[in-house]
Amino acid sequence: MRKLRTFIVFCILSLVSLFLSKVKAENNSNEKLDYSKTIDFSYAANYVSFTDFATSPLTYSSFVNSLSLAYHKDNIKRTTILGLKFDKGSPSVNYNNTVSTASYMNLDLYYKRLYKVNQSIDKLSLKVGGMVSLGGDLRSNTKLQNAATGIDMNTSLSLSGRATWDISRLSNYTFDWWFIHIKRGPVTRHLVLDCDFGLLGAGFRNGYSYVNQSGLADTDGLFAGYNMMYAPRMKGAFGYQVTFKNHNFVNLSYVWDSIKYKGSYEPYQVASHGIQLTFGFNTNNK
Amino acid sequence: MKNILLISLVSLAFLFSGCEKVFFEEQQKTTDPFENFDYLWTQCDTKYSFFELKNVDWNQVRDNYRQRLYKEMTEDSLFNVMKLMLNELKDDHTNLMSPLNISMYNVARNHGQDNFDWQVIERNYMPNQYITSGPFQHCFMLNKQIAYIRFGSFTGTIDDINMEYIMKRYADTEGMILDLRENGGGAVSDVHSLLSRFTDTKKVVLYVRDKIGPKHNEFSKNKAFSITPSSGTHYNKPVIMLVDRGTFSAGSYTSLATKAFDNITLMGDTTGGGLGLPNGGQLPNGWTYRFSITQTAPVAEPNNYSYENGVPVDVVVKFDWSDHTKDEILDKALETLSTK
Repeated sequence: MRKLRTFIVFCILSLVSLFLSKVKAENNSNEKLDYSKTIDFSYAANYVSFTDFATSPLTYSSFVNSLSLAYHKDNIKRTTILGLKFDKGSPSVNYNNTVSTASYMNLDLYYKRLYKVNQSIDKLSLKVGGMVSLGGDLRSNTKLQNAATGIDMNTSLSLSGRATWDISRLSNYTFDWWFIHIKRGPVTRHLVLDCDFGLLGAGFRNGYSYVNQSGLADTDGLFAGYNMMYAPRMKGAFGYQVTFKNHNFVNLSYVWDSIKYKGSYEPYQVASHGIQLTFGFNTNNK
Repeated sequence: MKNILLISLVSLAFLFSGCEKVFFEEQQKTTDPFENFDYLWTQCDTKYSFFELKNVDWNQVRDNYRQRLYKEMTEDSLFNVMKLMLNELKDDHTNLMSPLNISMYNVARNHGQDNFDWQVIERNYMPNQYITSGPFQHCFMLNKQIAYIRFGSFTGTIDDINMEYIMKRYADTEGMILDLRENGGGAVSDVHSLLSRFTDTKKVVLYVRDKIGPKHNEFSKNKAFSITPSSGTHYNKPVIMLVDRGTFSAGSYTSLATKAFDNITLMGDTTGGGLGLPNGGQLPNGWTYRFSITQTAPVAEPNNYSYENGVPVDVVVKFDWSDHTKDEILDKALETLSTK
């Protein structure tokens, strides 16, 4: 129970520190800048692979469905994103005439804040900052009997960066060849690269014996025997984005996320690679 | 410049995805007999909870069985070697499961005689049939003086409705027989649901502890298991619980917990044990296994975990297989309760 409290305090401190930095940054800002504010809806087909060495040395994998919702505030100098992501699927392992399937759910809440970095390339915008995330997953695999359920939670503070390359078409474009006639007007387009390197990460996961005796021990709850451990996280995304005149946008990205819980016990590692389609709806029509 | 940047961005994206290869560990996927044997041996060595109690030299066990392995052996042969290794633990909570077979030591067969035959009871003691309420079969015996409750498995289906029905139906009897012979266990939640009807005060009945490190004697502190009285009808008259070597796991937890109840007497034969909660895991070849990773002690002896070898009964009675019209254990229970 003490370990759970420590983990919760760690999460709260991470969130508070980031929100305090936000307040301070806004107070120091003398410039009034036009923000684009969007609500982003995303769907991704993520290929998830996880290995929980406490219960199996085999990697379970499959495509899972991923839905995200984010509030995105952006201008030339600053970007702020508050997002929530949910994954659900059934990774499995099929080996040596044995098929084992686990149900898998993942929930991830994150807050990211980026500031412009001055550089000399016109078409390139660079921003760096930080991200705090709080997430966890729930896995269930009946073949593992009393160790069927794994609940892993993590919080991490990451160094984040975003590179945006403006590839907008500024004039009309025509293509004429034989019977093919294409005419396109100006369009705002960007290539966007996001990366988040975990600086600090704490994981909270099943303890040495993995199973708990909540049915037998008065003091054992859902997280009995759980332990805090180091859990570095790394994320990245590379996408193509088209922004419309009303500042709505569509983004198609390759997204990648990985985390490893490692401590004195057997580690747990999970990674996902996917294709994500995002629709951003502008809410700042001034 | 534009192209260089574009190529850099794409390269970076692939570089990130390659990062996981660097800091992730490789899965151990193999059908190699030696690797699978060593994996299972190590898992047991670092997590199994009864090596010291059962006086098992696990290193010697490895040496004895590892020499039976060879690279080209069939899966069936590998299964048999690993099964024999696990059977050295003499623990029915220790099993190996493959598509070909499931291993089990079978305490009941190896450590005592069979003491239960449901057909003998059904034919000779239940002339007016019986009622089935949830996991229980029950009826009156001896002119409604005694309640007989058969509880064959901890299915996790004991609830307020079936327990309340039974408690009220037999409230006026002189005594109750709870028959847990050949009850192989199941959901431990049923232990509390059952025993909460036989006490009016909250009481600690067991202590449990978990394996917390790789050494054979690394355990957590004792954690108490209490029975809180049910808000429903209680039964405070004499109760005899019938058990035998087939009474295992949750059946043994219940048997050991009754040592803290003044009105419950254990009768029959020593239980099969199974007082360590089993875990679950998978081998590099996809097969699965489980073994005990906790220990249990009675409330009166908080440092005595030896009941894993079986919970002794208060009154020893054996079934006589020469006469298939009588259940000597049940007869003794009926006689004891009717003369109290």
